[in-house]
Amino acid sequence: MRTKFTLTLVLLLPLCSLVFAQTKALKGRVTDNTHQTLIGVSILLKGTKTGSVTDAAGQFQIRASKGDILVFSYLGFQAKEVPVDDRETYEVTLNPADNQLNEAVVIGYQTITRKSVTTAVSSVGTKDIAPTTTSNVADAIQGKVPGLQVFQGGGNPGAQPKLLIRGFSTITGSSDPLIVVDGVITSFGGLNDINPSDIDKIDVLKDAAATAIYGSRGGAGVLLVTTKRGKEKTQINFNGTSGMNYWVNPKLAQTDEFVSHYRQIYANNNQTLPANGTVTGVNTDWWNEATKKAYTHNYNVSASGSKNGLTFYGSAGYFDQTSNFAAQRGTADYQKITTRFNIDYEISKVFKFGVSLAPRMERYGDGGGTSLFNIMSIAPNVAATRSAAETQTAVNAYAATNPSWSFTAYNPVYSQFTRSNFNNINNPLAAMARDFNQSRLFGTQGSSYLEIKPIKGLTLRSSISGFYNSINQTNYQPKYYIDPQDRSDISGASQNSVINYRWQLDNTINYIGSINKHHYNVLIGQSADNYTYNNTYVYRQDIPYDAEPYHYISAGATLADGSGSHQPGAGPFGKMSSYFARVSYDFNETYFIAGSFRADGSSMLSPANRWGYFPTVSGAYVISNESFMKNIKWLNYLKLRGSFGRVGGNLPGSPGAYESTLGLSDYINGANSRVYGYVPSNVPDPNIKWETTQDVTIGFDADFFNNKLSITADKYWRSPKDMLLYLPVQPSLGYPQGYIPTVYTNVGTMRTSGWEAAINYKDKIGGVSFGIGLTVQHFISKAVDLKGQILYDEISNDVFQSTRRTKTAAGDILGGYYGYKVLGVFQTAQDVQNYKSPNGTVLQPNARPGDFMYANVNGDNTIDLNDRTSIGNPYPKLSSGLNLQASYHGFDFRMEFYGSFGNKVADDYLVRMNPIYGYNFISGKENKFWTGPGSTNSYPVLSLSDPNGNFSKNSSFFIKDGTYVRNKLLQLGYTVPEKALGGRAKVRIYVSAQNLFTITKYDGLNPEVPFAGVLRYGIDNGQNPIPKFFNIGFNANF
Amino acid sequence: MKHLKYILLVLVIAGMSACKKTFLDQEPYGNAIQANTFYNTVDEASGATIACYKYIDFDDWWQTQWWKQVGGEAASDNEWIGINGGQGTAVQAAHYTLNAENDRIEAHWIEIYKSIYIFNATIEGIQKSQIDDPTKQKLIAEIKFLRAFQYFELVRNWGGIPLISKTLGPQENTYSRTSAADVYNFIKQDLNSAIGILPNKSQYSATDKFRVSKGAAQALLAKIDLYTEDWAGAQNLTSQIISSGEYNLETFFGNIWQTTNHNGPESIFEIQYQYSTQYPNLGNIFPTTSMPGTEGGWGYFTPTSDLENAFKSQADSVRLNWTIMRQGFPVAGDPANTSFNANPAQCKSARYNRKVYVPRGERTPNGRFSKDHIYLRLADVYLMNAEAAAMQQQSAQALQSMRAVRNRVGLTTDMTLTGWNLINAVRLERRLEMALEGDRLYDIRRWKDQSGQPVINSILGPNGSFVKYNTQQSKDPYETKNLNEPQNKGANFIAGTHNLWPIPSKEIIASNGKITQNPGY
Repeated sequence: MRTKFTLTLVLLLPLCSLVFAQTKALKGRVTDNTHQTLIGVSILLKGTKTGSVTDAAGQFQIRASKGDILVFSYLGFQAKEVPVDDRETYEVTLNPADNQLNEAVVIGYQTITRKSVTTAVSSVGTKDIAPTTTSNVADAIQGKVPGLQVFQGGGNPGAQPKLLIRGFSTITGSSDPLIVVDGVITSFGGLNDINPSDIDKIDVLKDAAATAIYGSRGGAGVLLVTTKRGKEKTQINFNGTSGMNYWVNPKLAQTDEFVSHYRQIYANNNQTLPANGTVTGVNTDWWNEATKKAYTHNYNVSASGSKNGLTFYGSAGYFDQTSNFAAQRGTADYQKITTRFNIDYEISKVFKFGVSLAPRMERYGDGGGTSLFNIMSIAPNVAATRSAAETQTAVNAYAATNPSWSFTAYNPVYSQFTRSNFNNINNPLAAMARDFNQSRLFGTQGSSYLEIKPIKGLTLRSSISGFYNSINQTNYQPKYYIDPQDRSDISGASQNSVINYRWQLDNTINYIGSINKHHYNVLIGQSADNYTYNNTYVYRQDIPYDAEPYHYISAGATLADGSGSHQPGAGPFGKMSSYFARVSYDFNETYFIAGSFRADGSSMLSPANRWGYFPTVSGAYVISNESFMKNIKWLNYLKLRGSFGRVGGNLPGSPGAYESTLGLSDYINGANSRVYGYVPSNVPDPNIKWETTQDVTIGFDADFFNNKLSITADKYWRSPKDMLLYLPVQPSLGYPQGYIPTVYTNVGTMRTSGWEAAINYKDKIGGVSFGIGLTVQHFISKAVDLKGQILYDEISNDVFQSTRRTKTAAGDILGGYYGYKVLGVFQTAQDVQNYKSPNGTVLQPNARPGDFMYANVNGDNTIDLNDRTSIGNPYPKLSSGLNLQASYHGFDFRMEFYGSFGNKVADDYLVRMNPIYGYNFISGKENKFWTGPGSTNSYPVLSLSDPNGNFSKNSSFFIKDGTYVRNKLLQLGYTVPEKALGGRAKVRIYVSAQNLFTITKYDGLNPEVPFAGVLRYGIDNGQNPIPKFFNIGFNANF
Repeated sequence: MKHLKYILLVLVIAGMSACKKTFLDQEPYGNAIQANTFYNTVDEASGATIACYKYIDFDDWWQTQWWKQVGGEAASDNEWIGINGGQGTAVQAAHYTLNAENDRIEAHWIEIYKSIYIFNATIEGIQKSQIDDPTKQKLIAEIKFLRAFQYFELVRNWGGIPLISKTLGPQENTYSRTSAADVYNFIKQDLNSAIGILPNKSQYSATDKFRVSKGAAQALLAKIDLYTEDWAGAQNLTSQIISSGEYNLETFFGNIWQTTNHNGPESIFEIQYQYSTQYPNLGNIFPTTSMPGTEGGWGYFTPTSDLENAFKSQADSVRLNWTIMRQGFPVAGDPANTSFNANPAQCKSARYNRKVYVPRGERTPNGRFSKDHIYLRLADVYLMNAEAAAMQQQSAQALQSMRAVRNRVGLTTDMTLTGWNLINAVRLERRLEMALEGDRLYDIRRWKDQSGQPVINSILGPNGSFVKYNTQQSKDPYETKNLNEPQNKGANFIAGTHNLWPIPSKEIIASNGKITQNPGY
């Protein structure tokens, strides 16, 4: 044994060449088809165990005899056999594998080849990421990974997109997938801390059999991000883009249209339009006043290379994007500086270590201080600003009736604005003028590892990693007076400092071996981590002179609020200690079976429930390897896969959440001072534990027609159980938590099922190379058991309607729309009388012509709350991404589409047409509404009273088809021939447009609704749209 | 095998984190503390006790203070909900068109039971603590008073209710309703034991003046005696309070309602509010809800012309002006408000409650004021004494106590009254003195007329005197015009059903039917 061990070591060391008889020394170099040298290419004498590998310069030495065959193999490349002849020097070129079977796939704690994958894993590489200009890679991968949905972040610079893998895995918790960067667990759902241009590839683990290696944190899927590392050839790359973007003007009604519309409405109701509604001499185009063109700049420079076993990759990136709001002092703008250093050093064939460090800085606001809603709603017949004299008059008038009100000074910068008293909308320009909210972030990710390969096939790896983020948010609220209802009597400044950090320790032992055609891969490992969160918040009031130069926290005269926290083991990560193992076996790369197991211990649960166990099993059968399949020429490869696994889901929140707690309370004593005491603040379920999900996936991967066409498809069934729900208890138990006391407890079950497929085709016709990539997917999430609970969307969001938008009971889809079903519009009073119940009474006695006729769903004798029913499904029947690429000589062309089909959107722009609010509207929209018999049967009358509840009751009227197809990217590039630049540089210039056009019948601002929660999925209540981007870019490679 | 040491190193690192048993034990460092880590010292136990007081009114305006106006006054003949539009469920309660889903009555139920959980948990925590026994018993007596106060509020609103005297876990919800009589017995026991332990108000330092005294426990017990018709008990207790010398009537009626008057000589039990820029939420926002929009308020709870007429019937101008602010009249005690503007187009009766009004010059920012909420005061005790005596035909005693209250506001007293005339005079006196303070509904529910029927049955209902007044006789220029809140308030009152409020349906559903509904709902 000892001898074999030594022998293996010796064979692995290229410098250590033992002399065998009858052989001669050969040397050579291995390159790829682009003439880059390849490091670590394995060279074997065919039929023996004798071999060598290429060194950092791509050079190899080996002893062989004439007539031997050298087999060159390298991950991701086609193996090549070279017979030994009389030469002593060999230049060998390896071609990339022309299918993806040999591509490396990161599956968590180890990397395997695509052909060995038995679970649902999809990958997306830098060539599909780089074309999109964005600060967040999620935008770039939308539609490119089957089963991964990306919801836009909402149009603000720096807004975070939302990721969803295979639908929802929980109701009350988060379905954000785990993000792991180079093995470091960084966050749930957020990819913002990585510069997209540093990313080499992203592997998406989808089924439980794949994600369970991350145990209790893998329930919503895992994104494994691999950053770039050094290659042999020293390279310097510069990439720069500049772009302009804007929100498409929805063409709001201007004063003439606005006033004549409301004049008509008031006249129809025998009322007089209030004076401030009749003003016609003023017209403010609020859209043009409050939004603007915005600009994006993105520059990245990177250098990478390798020398004497040392490989490095270093980069620096700068990204900025200004806001589409015309916010003053740039508080809504976004800036990010990222850097990354990845260094690996191979000391010897046995030892290797590496260090990564990725510091970044960001600056961002909170959206500019106003909302699109205010811009779209404020009356156009109000001037944007007013004079100093008008302002003083208004201040004096208010002071006269409010003697205790002190307003000796006001800053005209914040006060010389108007307000629409016709519809009580505050001036968006005023809100932006006093927006000082700024956050500055410094964060860094880092890791270091040591890898030891003592014998062939065995790798011991130990790593320490972590991240650190420090965020400093400052804000200033000036004193101002615009109107009795839009004023602030106190100036104040606040500062919130957040520091969070995390360390993680991983140790793994991996053995890969084979005996004849039996291949084994065994991984065991251990991991521990701890996340800590700290913050300090201070708010001081009474800024001297209410003057802007004093808007920092130390200037405020009165300390008005302060708080802070320090929490090791903070949620959502807590502290965790884990043990895991994965074993896979295949016979002849045809029959695969794999299993994994993880045990997680979490600090967030009571000792009794602390440990969870997550087993999986998966298998694959490469049926195309069977001899009976060899005759099918058009089929190159077919693998059938199946997997089963159990994985953890959401944890109940925070440390100690299973224990009863007391919270600080206060009271006033007889001396008028504050006295503190502690009173109960939470009575939890002491047995609370994490949610678990089981899933079953079946799928296949196939290549056709000389690997030109590849198809991969999966069908899955996921069953999250022990779901945490807020179960109402008897109010008389008196628990402090929740208004209606609830206990957060593991009771629910749901099911998500779906399918997904990716189809890729690539070919070359004449000089034109082209590729087509298509992903399609569908899922539906249903509640199975909610312990009798009926879940609604949050009422707090329902400012406009008195009935809930969605309802979810056992058996329902999650967040399905719920309300009255509109049959039509009553055209005449006779129509109202004719609409009768089974016993002959008039069903809607309060209805007038122009009101909705609601379906009598339960067939009784009234239309009431019990006639509400399911009125639409927010889930797309299909969502799909399509990528087209073509290149011809130096030109390259790329087009990306994303589409959603058959989903329903709740259109809040219609709710806001209710004239009692007096809101402004998209020009022409008012003409769709009922004006008399025969005018329309689908839009109700606009009236100042609404006894029928046309607007206050949620109904099928507000539920619109949200089908759309968006052109996400259009790009044309030209690569200057290397010869033209003397072969020193490779230069590409390109122009691109993002979100250039959207094909949809939906007439709100944006059918692509940002994610607002499981039970509010698809409700468009005026979130910011996604702007159109136009970019020019320059890329140089030296 | 030299590499073995590196393998060992890895295993050691792996082992280190694995063997550290305490690694996964993580205590929370939030502002919440583990329940079993408190009540160790007198300071902690006393702080916990003081914090309990707040939960008599709970955290904010919309919880129990709000219901005390909606139910206690607006559902009687004293008040309208008032403002046009909004708070439809409050209107439904005040007009007896409510059902068991009503969110106003539900809020009251929920928040009272939350306070009872707090009181039970605090009693249990102090009970287990190692502090000296006299202090322990005194603190527990204070909290038992607060708990009795809340159970009294429950039983007078709903009748029999779940009686929970200790903290229960999520699975321990196997109780049902306890009868009203048993709830009253439980409260009386707690109060009797508290009376034996608590100090007199004068024994408290100025800083502690707000705390529950012996007199407070006696006053609450006396009121409960009235509700359970133990006239002798009530008379005995109220006589003790009056003769104790611990309390005096304010010489001027208006002084009671000054924002600067905290725990004054007349005050027996008072919830404290103090506005400060540093802790603004300890100011009382309830006055803001009951002031008109013209004064920066929200415009709820407008007194009826029926109540105004009651004052006028006694030529009682002092209490009229200090109870009802009328359109166009000067506001009593506010020199800056010489002609009150109730915003009559937006307000049912163009009248507002002076007792909760904050004069313009005394207003603090954000609508939160240093205005206490007085629950028990000496005039109330005098009138309880008068009522208990009158019910026992002890006319001289009854008239003497009633006269003390009337003298203060410059009214003479007919010292010849006896029998039902005297009883009715005491009842009217109680309506005027205690108007808009939250007892009116419960008084007319408990009072029986000569036929033995609750008085409320003849005031409300389709033929009720109040309903007939509003729909047939009233010429009030505001109430008869502002019909957004219907003029027939009370017409939907059904005797036998509406003498108790419905148990919130959420309670019944969550109990799987173990908690039963009151009849008629």
